[in-house]
Amino acid sequence: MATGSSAAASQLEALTARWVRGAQVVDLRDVSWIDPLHLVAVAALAHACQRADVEFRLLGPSGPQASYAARMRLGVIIDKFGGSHDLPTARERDRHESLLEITELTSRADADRMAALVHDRVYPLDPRAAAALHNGLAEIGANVCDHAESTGFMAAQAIGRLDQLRFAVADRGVGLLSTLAGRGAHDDRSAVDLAISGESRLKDEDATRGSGLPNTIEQVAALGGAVFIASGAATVQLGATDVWRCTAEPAWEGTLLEGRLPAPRHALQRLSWNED
Amino acid sequence: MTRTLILPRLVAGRDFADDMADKLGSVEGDTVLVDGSGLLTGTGSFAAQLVSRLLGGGAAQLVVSDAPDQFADYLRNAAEALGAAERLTLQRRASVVTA
Repeated sequence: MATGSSAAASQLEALTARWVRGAQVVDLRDVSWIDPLHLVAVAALAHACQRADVEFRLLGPSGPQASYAARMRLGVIIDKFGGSHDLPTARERDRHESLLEITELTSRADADRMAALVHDRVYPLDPRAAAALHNGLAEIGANVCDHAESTGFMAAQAIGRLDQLRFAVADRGVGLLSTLAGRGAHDDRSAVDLAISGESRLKDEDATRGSGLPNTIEQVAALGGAVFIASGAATVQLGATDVWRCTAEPAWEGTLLEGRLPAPRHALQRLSWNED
Repeated sequence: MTRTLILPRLVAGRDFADDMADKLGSVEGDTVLVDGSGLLTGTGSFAAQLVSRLLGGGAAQLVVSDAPDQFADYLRNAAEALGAAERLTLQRRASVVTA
């Protein structure tokens, strides 16, 4: 197993919230590419600030990335939670047509619905990727609803220039250690490792439990993709053959997951939500 | 008694599995036939909960026909975890495979 950094782990650094005159500020002005991971993380931060009665402010991104973030409803989400931002006002797409904007998860039904919509969008172009997206979003979304003790957020995106589909789910809840402490986890690293192995003592209560995340990883990896997870001070990136572990700096309070799937460019070009 | 469930094109979540199992009521001693021919994909959690409710609920046999391979694997794994693999049969159109 290799240790080191990953692109997704470095993205966490851009999501560092700093205290500026009594507000939590996230500065994405220097971020040249906005991922679903950025979107859901910022949404989760804005929500957490509202819960804590703390002002939240987003600076940037700029240019086409700002327009993209606005179209993905990031500005609307921040507004909803009482934060401030400098994103442009975007004409929202009809949700029936574009189903990958940031979605708030308040119930398992939300996760299942989003998963089904994404599946139906992708299935005509790549059935295997559609299945992986469906199952990943549904499983991880359900985990958030069951364990996070906080509202989660999900988003998905096609990236034509990289021939990839990406999805992300984030919350600022209790994190994997809180869920798995007393079930075999003693720190963030062991909690993440337990979660991805599916061998937590949740199985002592129900032998069929604990497989949602491992199944997601397996399905994504089988397609040549990778999954990145951050919870507390621990991150891990898993591909078909490689595992990267490193320490999250700063630590992510809660849980953050991004999946990346290869997809043929000719298929992505047929998706109107391809942001290239 | 033989009971029948037809899976829709997408299935996810333990709640949905519970809803489907609830429609059958008690399956104690019954053979449950699950038609997976219309299923495109389903999550492992749904499969696990369905197995838990049906085989864990005392069904004598759970016969699942024409489910996608990945979903069939999830069912098989769940049945094995429950120690009930011998009561699960996975059918394909041209063959019968006992889990």
